[in-house]
Amino acid sequence: MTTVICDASSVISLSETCNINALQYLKDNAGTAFIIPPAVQKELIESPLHIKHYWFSALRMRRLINAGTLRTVSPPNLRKETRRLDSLANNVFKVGRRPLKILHQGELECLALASSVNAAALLVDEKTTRLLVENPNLLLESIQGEQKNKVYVNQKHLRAFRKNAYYPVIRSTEVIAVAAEQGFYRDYGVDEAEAARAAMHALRHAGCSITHRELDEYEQLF
Amino acid sequence: MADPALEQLEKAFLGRNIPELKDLSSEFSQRAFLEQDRDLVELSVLAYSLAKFCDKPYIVNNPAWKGFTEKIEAGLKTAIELSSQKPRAPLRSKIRELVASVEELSNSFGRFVLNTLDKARIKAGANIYAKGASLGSAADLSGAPKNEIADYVGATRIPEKYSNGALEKRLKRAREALTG
Repeated sequence: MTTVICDASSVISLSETCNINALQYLKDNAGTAFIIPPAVQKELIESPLHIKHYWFSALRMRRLINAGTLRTVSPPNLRKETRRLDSLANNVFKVGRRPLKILHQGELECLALASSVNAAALLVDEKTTRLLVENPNLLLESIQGEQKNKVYVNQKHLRAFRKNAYYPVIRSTEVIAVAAEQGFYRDYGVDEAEAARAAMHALRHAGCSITHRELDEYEQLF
Repeated sequence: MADPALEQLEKAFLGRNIPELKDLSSEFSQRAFLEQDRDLVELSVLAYSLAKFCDKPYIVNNPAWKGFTEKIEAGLKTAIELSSQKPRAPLRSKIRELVASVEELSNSFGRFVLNTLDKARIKAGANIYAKGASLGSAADLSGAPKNEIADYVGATRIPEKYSNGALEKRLKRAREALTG
């Protein structure tokens, strides 16, 4: 059984595009365990539960957890590890003397949880966490491109961060691609391939950080 | 010394300069990210909302507009004076009062489920995300819901900058991670 840590961004993208059942499908067919840290549960359920506009979305998320599709895990060292990664990640980039606070609690807890449970991958749709893990130079380039002043990198913090927070990162589009390969859209009959392609576009429009070139490549695959 | 950006905001609103108001909104949200300052987010939201109002004939021709503009202009003048003083609490309070006036006007028109302020907050959040913050950080700082920022970002070219690595390799990794 493999374990994948889910950031709120991916769960939201999958849910908003009516593809959330792909998680249960992969759990049933491939034995994948999808887990979230407490901060992500709070983002998905506790916080939106009291906002009428998001009330139903929060209940749907709670149903996912009650059904065991998503499991909240909070190992004893999570808080300590999250604080450690916070002090590293949010001090990697500086403008002048000001460190740039680029990651939030949910994203940090996902990274901390990944190391605690020896996860196979981190599922995250938003770009900052992904790039900090995969390609900090590209993240630096994009941040520098948006800032008038020079952005400095604390290489010591970056090295320390990447030493313990380096995981394969996948997005909701990859989840859909693998689920589709396993027959997730079989119920669509003749529209099976088209459903997979359309789902990719829907995820892009729900905020998944995927380029149009990558979408074109996915279109060729299905 | 008074905050020059607040002075620019006052000047832009007095001149009903919509492009300048929008530019200031973007500048405020950029500063908010750099300085982790929620008051700057409120100023971003204020500037954007004022730009939107100025652009709508049904608002500027409404009888309520005169009273609103007088309130905003007086409020901005006070905010500028307060910006050169310490502590920050009175300035913070004045900014929130100005934003509350915007919300009141926006709600009074009642044409849309999402009022102007909500849209301004989402825009600020998307801007902060584009400047380098994660979605979680952008949502936290701007006060806009994560999924609303994500939806907004999805309709822009923001994701185009962040391609990293061959798709086939990423898909191979995903297969290994998801199916063992």
